Parts: sequence; C-alpha cells; structure tokens
Amino acid sequence: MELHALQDKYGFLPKKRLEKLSKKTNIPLAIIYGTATFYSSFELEKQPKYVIGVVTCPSCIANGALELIKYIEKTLNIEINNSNGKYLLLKIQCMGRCYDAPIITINKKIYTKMNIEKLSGLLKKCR
Amino acid sequence: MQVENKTNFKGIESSLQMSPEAVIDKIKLSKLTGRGGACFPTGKKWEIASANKGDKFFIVNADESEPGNFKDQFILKNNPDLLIEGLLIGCHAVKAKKGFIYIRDEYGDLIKNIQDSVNKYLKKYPQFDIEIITGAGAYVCGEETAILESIEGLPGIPRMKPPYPGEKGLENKPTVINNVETISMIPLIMNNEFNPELRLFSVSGNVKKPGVYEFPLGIKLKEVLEKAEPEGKIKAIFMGASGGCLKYDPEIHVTQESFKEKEVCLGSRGIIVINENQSLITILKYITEFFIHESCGKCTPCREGNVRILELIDKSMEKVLTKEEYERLNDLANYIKECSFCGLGMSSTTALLNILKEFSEEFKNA
Repeated sequence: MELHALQDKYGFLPKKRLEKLSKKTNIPLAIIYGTATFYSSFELEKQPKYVIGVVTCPSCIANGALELIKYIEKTLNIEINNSNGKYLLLKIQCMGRCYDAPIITINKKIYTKMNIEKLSGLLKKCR
Repeated sequence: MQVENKTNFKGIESSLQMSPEAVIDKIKLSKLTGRGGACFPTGKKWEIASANKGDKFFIVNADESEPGNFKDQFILKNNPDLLIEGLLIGCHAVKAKKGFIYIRDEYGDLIKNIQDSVNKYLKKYPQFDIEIITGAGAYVCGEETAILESIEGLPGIPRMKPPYPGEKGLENKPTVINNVETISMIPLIMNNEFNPELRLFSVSGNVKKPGVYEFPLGIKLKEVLEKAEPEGKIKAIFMGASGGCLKYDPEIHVTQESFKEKEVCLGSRGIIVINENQSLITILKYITEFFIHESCGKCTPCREGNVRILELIDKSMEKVLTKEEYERLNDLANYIKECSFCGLGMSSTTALLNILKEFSEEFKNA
C-alpha cells in the first residue's frame, strides 16, 4: 500500500523515500527494493514525459498491435523498448480489455480499439 | 446470465439463519467447483479450512491476468453485490476473521464500484471485515500461494505446497482462496437460483462481437464462436496464453476432458480466435515473451528455459530450423512443463507443444 502511494504521488519510487520508508517500518531496504523491483507497476527511476505501451498479447496481436508499434516507431523515431528522452515505447502485457483490442496506454491511461487514425491523433497531442 | 441476478441481501440473510456447517453442506450439495480453472470442489475447500482451529481468512482472487480472460471483470463491473454477498457468506461459513479481495492493478477503475458495494454490505453487517488489496502488475499473483505473499507485502513468489492454504495460508492461518466467478455463484446457490452447468466464456481475437457469453459446458465449440461472429476462416483458438493452442475443430465439445484429449487446457474459458491471416509463430513469440516477463524467477526451468525457447523462435522467423534445433525446442518445452515449480512455468510451453505437434508447417513458413 505504501509503495502504491509513493508511486501515485511521484510517478516512481524515489530512493530517499524508500530509505525513509525502511526506517519508519523497520523493514530492511533490500526487502523493500526486492518487492519494488518484482512488481511491474512500480518504477525506480523518473520516467520520460510520455511512456507509451502497446499490448502484445494474442488478442491485440490478432487485431493489429504490431502495425501500431511500427507506426509509433516511425512517427516518433524511436525503437521498441527504448527511450529517446522524451518518449519511452514499451511492449506491455494484457490489460484485460481484449474485447476492445488492440490496446495501448499512454502514461498508464488505457486507450481501446486503436487504429492508425486514432493513434495518429493521440501522438499529435503528445508532441 | 445467472451472474446478472440481483440478490438483494436474500443470500446472506438466509445463510445467517443457518449454521456455518449447514451452509458448507449446501455448497457441497450444489456440486460447485472452482471456476478459476482448477475445478476443485468449493464446499470441500471450505470444509478443510473450517476444520482447522483459530483465526481464518477468506480471499477472493480477482487478479484476472490471463490474456483473453475478462469474465471476472464482467461481474466486478456489472454486479459486484453478488460477489460481496458471496464473500460474506463464505466468511460466515468458514468463520473467517477477515475477507480480502485481491484485485489486479489494471482493474483500478473498478475499485470504487466494488468499495461502494463493500461499504453497503458492511453497514448492514458490521460483524464482518472486508479489505480490497490492489496488486501491482504481476501475473504470477493469480497463483493462490503467490497471492498470500503479495497480501503480506512481499514479492508474489509461489510457496511450496503442501501445506495448502486451507491449512496454512495468510499469516500461516487457514485461508480459503476462491475465484470471483466461483464466489459469485454462492448467493445463487443460497437463493436456489444456481444452474451448475452454466459457465462464463470470454471470447476475443478475430471476431466481430468479442465479449462475455454464458453457455452450458459440453456445448460444441462452433456454437460458442458463432455468437461472437468470427472474422475470416478460423485457424486455431488459443486458450489464453497458458491453456494452449487448439487446431480449430467446430464439432469438439467444450469440456475439460475433451480439451485435455487434445492436450489443451480449458482453464477459465478465455477463448482467443485466430484466423488464417495470422502467423501462429508470431503469436507464440509474444506468448513466450509474456512468460519471460511474468516468470517470478524462482525456478531455473521457467526462468532460463523460456529465454532459450525465444531465441529459437526468433531464429525460426529468419530461417528454417535444423532438425537438432527442432528437437531442442521440443526438449526444452517438455523439460519446462515437467520440471517447473508452479503452474505458471508448467503451462508456459503448452501452446508451443501444441503448435509443434499440430502446426509444424508454420515453423517452416515463419
């Protein structure tokens, strides 16, 4: 719960806050780090301005997720699983919205039934 | 759909007028089995935990993270009262000190709705205690002992079984863990509205009408898919990521047994329809990446084996694999299936084994 609160507040888990949490709870910092790095909802470093995730589970692939990745790579001049400072493009796992596939996320906000036209509009807003 | 029935406190009211033992007997008589995929008899699970002394806990597993599965989400979104009422009946039946709902982080938008329902019930029944715990993006936490670790604030690494959670679960106390759909059946049983044959199906992929459907077990596969209106000629269906890849057979009856004969696991009935325009090897590549990402890292076969498998799949997408490489792929898949510590690892190569057996030509054309 504490890690969720820190993640929500800062967008990542600042080292100093984790040290403070360790002192407050008497839980060794190594245990807190081990937990924080285990779960993919937590980030240990400040994230780029726009973190874009494309779901690559079967329903999204069957509905064109790979074309979306290609389009984002070309439009933002970025490679999958890489950051250029401003953008980070990731393959992400199932969000449980397979009925609205394909799915992308921008800064954890979920966008459903994506296609190139909708994606183009969204990326323009992220300039 | 029976999960849309409004229960309006009827189930909990009648349960509270019965002894905990009588409630368990009624659940046993209903022949309800777990809807998360394992099909363990629910009444028996409750009885085992109930027989142990001391504090007990009750957990609803709402960590629905299997790709292609969203039927629990349907209940959480459309009828959370049914779930909360089922949880309270469960707490009464096993005399649990506290109930938990462990929900995946990605379902965060549903939490307010669920909390409102919890508050409504706790106001009327203050003798109970329910807490909603949010996961943090780890598929393995759908495994029942990994949930326990996660609720205790630790990485969700599965525990050795036995002891089973019914003997030593949360804080080493007897704990019942049931899936959302299973618990939502409880008020229906108490209200005598339960049809044991019906199951929820999540259907997605190459279909015009993806969604949640309700069918009796034993229905033909083509009848399930007709409702969702497939797009193009169906090549195969994936049962989530872990259940495997079934070569499309319209006449097959949807039962655990008939799927098992094809070495595919029906699981929690998440069907992903794949048409002939898709490459199964491409989908397999991303399923393997999924398991590499989601492996907790505890055991070597799952942690390292899937990385080696991905290397071979990537290679097969560039050139035809040699006979030795095929054999290695097959050996690795079987080794991971046989030697992994938990269900995640054991099931991580099901789809690969199915494709090697039924669709070997796809490797040559990848």
